[in-house]
Amino acid sequence: MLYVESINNALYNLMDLDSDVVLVGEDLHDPYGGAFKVSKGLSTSFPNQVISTPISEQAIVGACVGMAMRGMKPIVEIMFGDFITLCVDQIVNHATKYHWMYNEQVNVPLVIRAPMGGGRGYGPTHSQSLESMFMPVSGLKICAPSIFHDPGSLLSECVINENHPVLFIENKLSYPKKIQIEEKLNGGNIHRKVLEKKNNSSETILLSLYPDENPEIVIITYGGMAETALNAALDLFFEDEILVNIIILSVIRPIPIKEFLSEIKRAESCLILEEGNKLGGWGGELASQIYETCFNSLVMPIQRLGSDDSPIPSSIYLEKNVIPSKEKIVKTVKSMRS
Amino acid sequence: MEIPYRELYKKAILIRFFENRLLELFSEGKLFGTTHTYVGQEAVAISSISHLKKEDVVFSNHRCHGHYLAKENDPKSLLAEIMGKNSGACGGRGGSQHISRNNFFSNGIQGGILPNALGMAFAEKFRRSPNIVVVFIGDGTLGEGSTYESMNLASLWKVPLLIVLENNQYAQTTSVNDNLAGEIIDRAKSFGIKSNEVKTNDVSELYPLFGRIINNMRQDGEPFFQLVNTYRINAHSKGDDFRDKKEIDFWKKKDPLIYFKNFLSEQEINKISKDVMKNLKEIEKETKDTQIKFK
Ligand SMILES: Cc1ncc(C[n+]2csc(CCOP(=O)(O)OP(=O)(O)O)c2C)c(N)n1
Repeated sequence: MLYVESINNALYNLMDLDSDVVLVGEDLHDPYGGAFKVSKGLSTSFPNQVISTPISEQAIVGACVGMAMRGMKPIVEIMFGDFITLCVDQIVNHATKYHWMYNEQVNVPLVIRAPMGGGRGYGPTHSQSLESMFMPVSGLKICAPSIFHDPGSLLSECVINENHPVLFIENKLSYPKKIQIEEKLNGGNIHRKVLEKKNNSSETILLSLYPDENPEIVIITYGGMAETALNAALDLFFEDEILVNIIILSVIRPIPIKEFLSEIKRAESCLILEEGNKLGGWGGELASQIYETCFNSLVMPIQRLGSDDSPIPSSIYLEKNVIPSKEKIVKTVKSMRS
Repeated sequence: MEIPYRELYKKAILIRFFENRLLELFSEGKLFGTTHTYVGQEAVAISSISHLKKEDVVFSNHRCHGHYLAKENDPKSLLAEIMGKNSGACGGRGGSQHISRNNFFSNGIQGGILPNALGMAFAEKFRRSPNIVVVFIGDGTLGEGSTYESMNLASLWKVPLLIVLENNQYAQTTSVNDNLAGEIIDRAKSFGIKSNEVKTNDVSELYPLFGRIINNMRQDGEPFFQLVNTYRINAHSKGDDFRDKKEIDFWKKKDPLIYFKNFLSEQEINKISKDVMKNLKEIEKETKDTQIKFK
């Protein structure tokens, strides 16, 4: 099944099961079915539950906050994740505040879906990965499934079981890809394991070539970078005999560090990889949390790789220089060895 | 329409005493943070909210005490909240401008509440409930883009949202003339929202007016925009008032409390005022004495 189909199916089932689930966003209706076709067919099946709106991101998110406060289960689609900047006030000062500041008298079960990421030549305002901007927002959960997750089931989990706002990040390049959730991938040489869950909507994955052996390097990543990391790991092993494990988070805020701490400790060093800007990014927070959690025991060096501190160029040739690529990962891992 | 002057006066004087006492408590150093008093605008809250049922929603703004007292009639939970006590409406987490109880909500971000109220009205309609949502905003808040996004959607979605715009002539220190181009009422009209404008602090006009609007909304379930031109008698917040003294004095002659003299005897007014004041004093004493508990 494709990543986009998994989400589309989940939305279908959610609306079918519960008439209080609504999907709200721009240009969602058939025959168009949303800018990335995630809502294809849904308005035909659920004409009352799919609401195409004017270009009013602030009001859309704000209205869905209001619907959620009255017990509905709204899901917002932000056409391009870059436009989430227009919703910041609603997310920071409204959606995530009400439950807490009203002393837990209300819940805001709102899911905001936002496609992020580059690689398609959309340029500086349509290619960013802005989710790390929301790391300090108390009360927000950020879920960003990769193709090694079943994004639809994670979305359903968020819609059905969460009582608080969730930012659900979908990577644009992942939409047309097959999800890979079997125990053995890549013709059998990659082992995929779900690490022990500490929370229902979190699913942290470990990919390894030799699960019983301690790797030299462990890469921690999420979202669209997961596949790039796997390709780099395969090159590093088959060309340079460097064993690299990959930890792939689905929930990146709060960071479910306990789910994967023991996997980090098995490696000699650790690379934190993200598509968003490295400066001020998610990786810096994760690195600090790893050090703080293991204050007395960790002697492992941690390296980070993210986008350069630059807007993302439109040219797909130039874009590759800014966003982490397989080549950059390979180079960084090699530089970590000496 | 019969007008329950006694009940209305009771609420009006409660708001008046409550708000003025807050300012005293601030100057005595008993309160922290900020507050925005509703003095001068009482007629708007009581005339509109008194028509609502328990299930109807009120979404208010930074200047929310009057709306809260009119809806919940519970000065105790409000005072405790402003005093930072656990027994406050929100356990001391929200403070003066972030209050919630039952179907009352307020938030201190200009413009942000309008989309929320819109969504709530959508939910009521979606579930075919007969309830309506009333949102209060000030003239200054019309500077925010969210108000226009929300009015557009309210009209498109045809939801039971009553927008009450309290034009008290100022946004903090800035006169409405320096803040807003064009006419306020034209904003609502341009979105095809039914609208009306009045300039009065007289409950005998405002109460029946809101009664008609709310009755109609329960029938047609559509949005309505009511502009009330009024005046804030006190400073924006705790001090710093740079308005023309003559202007303030002019409006003091139009104080909403004065109009009650046409409908209630002096004796009645004094009796109600005395009872309300007595009750407030007891509440204050009780609240001051409660200890703070940490969870
Ligand atoms: C987004 C935002 N900007 C600025 C403020 C600071 N502020 C609080 S009240 C206020 C004036 C609001 O004026 P108006 O809407 O006319 O309401 P009034 O105070 O007159 O009742 C301002 C600027 C705020 N709370 N939120």
